[in-house]
Amino acid sequence: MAEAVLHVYPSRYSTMTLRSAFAGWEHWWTEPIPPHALAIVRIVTGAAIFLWAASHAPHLRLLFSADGVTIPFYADRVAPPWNSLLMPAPFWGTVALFVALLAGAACMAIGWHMRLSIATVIVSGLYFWQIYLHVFPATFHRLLIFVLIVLLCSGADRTLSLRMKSERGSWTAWEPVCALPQRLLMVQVCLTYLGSGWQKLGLTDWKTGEILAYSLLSDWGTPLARSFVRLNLPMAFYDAVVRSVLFFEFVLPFGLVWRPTQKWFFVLGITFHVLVLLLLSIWSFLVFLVPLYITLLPPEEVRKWRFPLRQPPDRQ
Amino acid sequence: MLRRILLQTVIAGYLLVSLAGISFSVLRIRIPFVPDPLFRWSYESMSPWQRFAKNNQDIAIRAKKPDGTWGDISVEKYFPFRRGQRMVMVQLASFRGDEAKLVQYRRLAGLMLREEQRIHPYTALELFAVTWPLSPESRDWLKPFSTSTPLATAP
Repeated sequence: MAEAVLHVYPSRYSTMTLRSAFAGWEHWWTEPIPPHALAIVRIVTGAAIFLWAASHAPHLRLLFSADGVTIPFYADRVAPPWNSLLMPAPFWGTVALFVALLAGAACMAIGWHMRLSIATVIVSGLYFWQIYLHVFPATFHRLLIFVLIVLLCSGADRTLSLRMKSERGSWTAWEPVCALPQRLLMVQVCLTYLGSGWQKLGLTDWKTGEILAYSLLSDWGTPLARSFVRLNLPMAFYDAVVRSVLFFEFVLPFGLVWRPTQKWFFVLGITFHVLVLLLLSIWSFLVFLVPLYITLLPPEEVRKWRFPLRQPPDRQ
Repeated sequence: MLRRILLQTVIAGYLLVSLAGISFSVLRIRIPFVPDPLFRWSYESMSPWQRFAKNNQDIAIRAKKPDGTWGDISVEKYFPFRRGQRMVMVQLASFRGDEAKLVQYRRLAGLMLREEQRIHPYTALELFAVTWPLSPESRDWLKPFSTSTPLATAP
């Protein structure tokens, strides 16, 4: 009997362990959570897209319309009649699409008809991107489209939104949402740093400090960066900085996730991107990646930390 | 139940695509069955800064006046971006291969000539790639030592 118990118990135990592990896994990905972190990502991303798009307004005719200088990237690769959708529109059509993009970004930020507005931003944004003069698909473009698709399928308008204001009478009323969109953004933030750090370890250009020294002197470099290079520090300094960056990017995702170090790594991550902006004039990661840090915080903490204003009238 | 299956499918799909991206980043191992566009999206969304040159790289535009003389045209009008972004854009980075790039440069020269002719009676336009050494003093400090390579002419 004792032998039988010994034989049965481990398999039953392991089955239970597997079940509870899967339940924990499923709970982590899909539990109901407060939507505040997602709402903040929606607001910041929508506002950033609005400002970014608006900065192109003076160049609409020349760089985005059929009357100007455009090279549609996909029009030659798609069969008629669909390719006509990918050709630059006449100026009036360009203005109409541009207004739709701005309106979509604004509505996304204020949380009004969120799904329609994000879909408008994605479609019109991709259209403008592919006729943009000499398209340049950067890492942040991919990150941004991922964020938009995730937000499209999220409940990011369930608080701090015009929707909640009109439905519940308060901007800060909220309803719980599925955790999946927030978890996806969270994992993507970590993967972006992890993948980038790991790739650099294997790239020849990242073995020495040359990449940093030359980049600071290149067209990416700001006047501040050029002043820094004029200090004429030895190449060993640049070597050390590059090695530090590699180490930093490697540990950053772990530091961002681990609660005891999280706040410090938030500060370090933001400092890193501010330095990249000040020295290399690259703003996109500071604007589109750093706000995603908030998804790494426990959702309930974000709700209490920032918005201890009102409980939802009725939870679904 | 259907919702559970759908959510778990999304999670599994996302993790598989991410695993494909990170395994190629780290080990150069390509996981099969992951559609190429998704794999490329994942891999390239983790791409680090890889573009650095030991020279300044820019484009120059010259137009031919009716009297037969040539004059420079401002590049800023067509590339009103930060200079780093402009440096990448003028190389037509999205078009792969020299021949594909030259086709697009010819197209670009034609469009620029059309644009210039809205105001000026230019009869031809040339595009050049210009490179010159970097300098801590200023961007254009060593530009007198630049070298130019013709890219395209219109018409």
